[in-house]
Amino acid sequence: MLKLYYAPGTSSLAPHVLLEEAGAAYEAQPIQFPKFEQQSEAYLKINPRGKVPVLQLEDGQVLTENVAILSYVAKKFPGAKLWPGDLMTEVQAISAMAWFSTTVHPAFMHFVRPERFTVDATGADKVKEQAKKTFWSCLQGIDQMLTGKDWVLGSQFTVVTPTPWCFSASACGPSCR
Amino acid sequence: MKNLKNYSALKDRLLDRPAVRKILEREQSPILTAA
Repeated sequence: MLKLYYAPGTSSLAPHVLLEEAGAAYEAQPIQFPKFEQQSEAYLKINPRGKVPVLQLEDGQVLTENVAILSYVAKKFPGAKLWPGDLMTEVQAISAMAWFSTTVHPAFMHFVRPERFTVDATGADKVKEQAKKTFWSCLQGIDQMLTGKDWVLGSQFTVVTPTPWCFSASACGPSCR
Repeated sequence: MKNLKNYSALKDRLLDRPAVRKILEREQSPILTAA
C-alpha cells in the first residue's frame, strides 16, 4: 500500500487531497513538526532532507517533492482523470506545478519563516516585508490564472488543483492580507 | 485574500468536495473553523 508522510498545515496537503480524490488505497502517516519529528533518526532514514511530503511506494521506493508525487498519483490512477489528456494541457500542468514549487512556495516560506533567510537577527522584518509583496504578487497571478475557470486548467479538477490553495489553507497563509 | 475573487471562489469550490473536507478534518485544519 502507498504511504504518505505528511505534516498538517504544510504543502503536503496537496498530495494528501489528490490521493483521496484519486480513490487510492493509502496510509497517511502524520509527521509532527512541533515535535521536530522530521529531524528524527527514523524519518531521516526515509527522507534525508527532513522534508514532507514523502510518498513511499508499495515496493519501498521513496518519492519526494510535490511535482513528482502529484504526477505519480495522477498517472497511477488514470480512472480519476487527474492527469490532462492532451499534450498542451499536460505541459501547462507541468508549467503550473513548477511555478508553484520554484516561485510561489519559496515566496510563501520567506513570508511565514523570514528568520530562516537572514543571518542578521534584525533582518527578519525586512525579509518578511519584501516577501509579503512577492507572495501577494504570486497570489494575484494565481487569481488571474483562474479567470473564467472553475479550476486552474479549466472545468476539470486535475493534478494541479489542490496546490495553489495550500498557501491559504496552511496555518500561516490567511495572515497575508 | 477576499480581494482575490477567483482565488476565493476556488477555496469555496474545494471546500464543497467531500475528499477535501475529509483530509482537512484529518489534518485538523483551521480553515474548517474559519469557513
